[in-house]
Amino acid sequence: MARSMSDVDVEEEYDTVPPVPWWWPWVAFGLSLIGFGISLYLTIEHFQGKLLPCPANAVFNCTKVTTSKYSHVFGVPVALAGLLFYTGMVGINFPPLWKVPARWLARARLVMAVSGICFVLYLLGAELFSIQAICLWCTGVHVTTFFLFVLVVASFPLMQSRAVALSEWAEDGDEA
Amino acid sequence: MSQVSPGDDGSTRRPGPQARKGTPAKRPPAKAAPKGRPPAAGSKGRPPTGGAKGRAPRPNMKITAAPPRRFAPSTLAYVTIAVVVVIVVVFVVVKVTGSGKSTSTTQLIPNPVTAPASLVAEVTGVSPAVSNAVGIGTGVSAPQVLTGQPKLASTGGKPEVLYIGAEFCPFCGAERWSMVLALSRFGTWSGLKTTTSSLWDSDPGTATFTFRNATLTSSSIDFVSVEHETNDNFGSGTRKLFQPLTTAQGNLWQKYSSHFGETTGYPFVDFGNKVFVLGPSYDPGVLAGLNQQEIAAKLTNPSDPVTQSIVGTANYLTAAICAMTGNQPAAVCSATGTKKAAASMKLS
Repeated sequence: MARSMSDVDVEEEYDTVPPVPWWWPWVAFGLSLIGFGISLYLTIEHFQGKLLPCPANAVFNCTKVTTSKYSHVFGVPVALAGLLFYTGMVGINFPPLWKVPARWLARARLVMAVSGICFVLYLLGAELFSIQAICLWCTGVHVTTFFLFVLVVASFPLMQSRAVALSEWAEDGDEA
Repeated sequence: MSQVSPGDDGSTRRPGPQARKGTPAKRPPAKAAPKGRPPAAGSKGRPPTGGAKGRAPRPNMKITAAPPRRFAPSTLAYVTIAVVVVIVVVFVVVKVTGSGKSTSTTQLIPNPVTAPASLVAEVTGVSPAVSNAVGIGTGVSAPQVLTGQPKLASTGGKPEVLYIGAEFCPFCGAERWSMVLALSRFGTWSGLKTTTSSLWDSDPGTATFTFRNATLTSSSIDFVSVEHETNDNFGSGTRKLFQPLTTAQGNLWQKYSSHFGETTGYPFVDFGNKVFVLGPSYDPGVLAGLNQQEIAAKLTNPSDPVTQSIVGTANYLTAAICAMTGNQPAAVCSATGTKKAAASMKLS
């Protein structure tokens, strides 16, 4: 059955919306799960008061880091803060949500990623210059947060333009 | 990585199913398509609006991103990422270059000095009442227990306790307090000296002993100590190899550190290949700001965090030695504090 001219026009418009590379959602979701897993482990160990299996020498010492004054922020254990952060990250990076063209979603993802990396830089500075020890488990979370930050920041322009384009198109469709 | 720049539609024909499914493109489409207007091929701007808000509908118009800005969003994104990378690199460079600066020819940490007899007596004379009250203490991690290993014994046949540490090491500094107390329950010390840990490491200047010339005279065990590296006597990073390891000692260190998923680190204490201390048993920070005499004076108060840490660890180490000696001497091995530690390690 032949399609009308108008059907073709709209489909062409639709097809010009930039797509999300298939691997972005999955990599973001995977990184979020890794961060969530490590944070969960660190939180459990924190509340059980156990020492982490970790090399203890002049450079690396998880116990030194996780029992330092930097292990709490505003009275909240950093491990728990990390767990809450990654709980949010797992949720917001759930792959189907990457296809939702909502500007607030892209911005929320960006705000979380930037907040996360800022906190990581703060903790890294504390480890290197105040505590004078590196916690390998924490470093795992830091590296995961960094890659998540790179992915979210690099993808933000596309996510934003998708959201703008599709919302305008939707508005125009309504007006018509 | 696919990016979209303002003013450039950045679009891809046929985006594929993943883009199609999640967008509002399932809306009834025909209503949006204006009719009777000539197509403006290659034109950019908003999709057709049917004349609303003064904009004429333009069919075949491509959906575009926001209008051009001074910097493209993708550029800003990469700059943001680069800034983070630069901050991390600066942190690491400052740390690495800063830690190797101090290489004075003046000795900044004095050589160890013979420990006063009164100090040794205070540490080794912790009362059974205090020891039993402390039990396994608080903030103390239990040593690791391993079964089925070949017995570690000296040439004389006595079970051996092997200590590998370093004079700069703050964790060794904390551990030595407990070792001095625990081992004194099985013998008599001589040659103990006092020192501090490195001033350029974590827990700088932790007051402690050194085993460099120490001897434990015991009828039930042999104590073998290796202070593998010196202190940072002349500044940060000036530690040097001090007492060498034998091949057998190095193999034990490597084997059992690896067994417990650790890299070789200080301190390492092997109790007859049955019980192992790998790393700090407690946070040396509890000793911060205290000298040897002040630490020893606290050992009469079982509720003091210093006592909880030192004596709690000592009870664990005592229980470990009891496991090597067949629970001899009975007075030591049947003490409440020792039994609590043994039970915690599942040795009893």
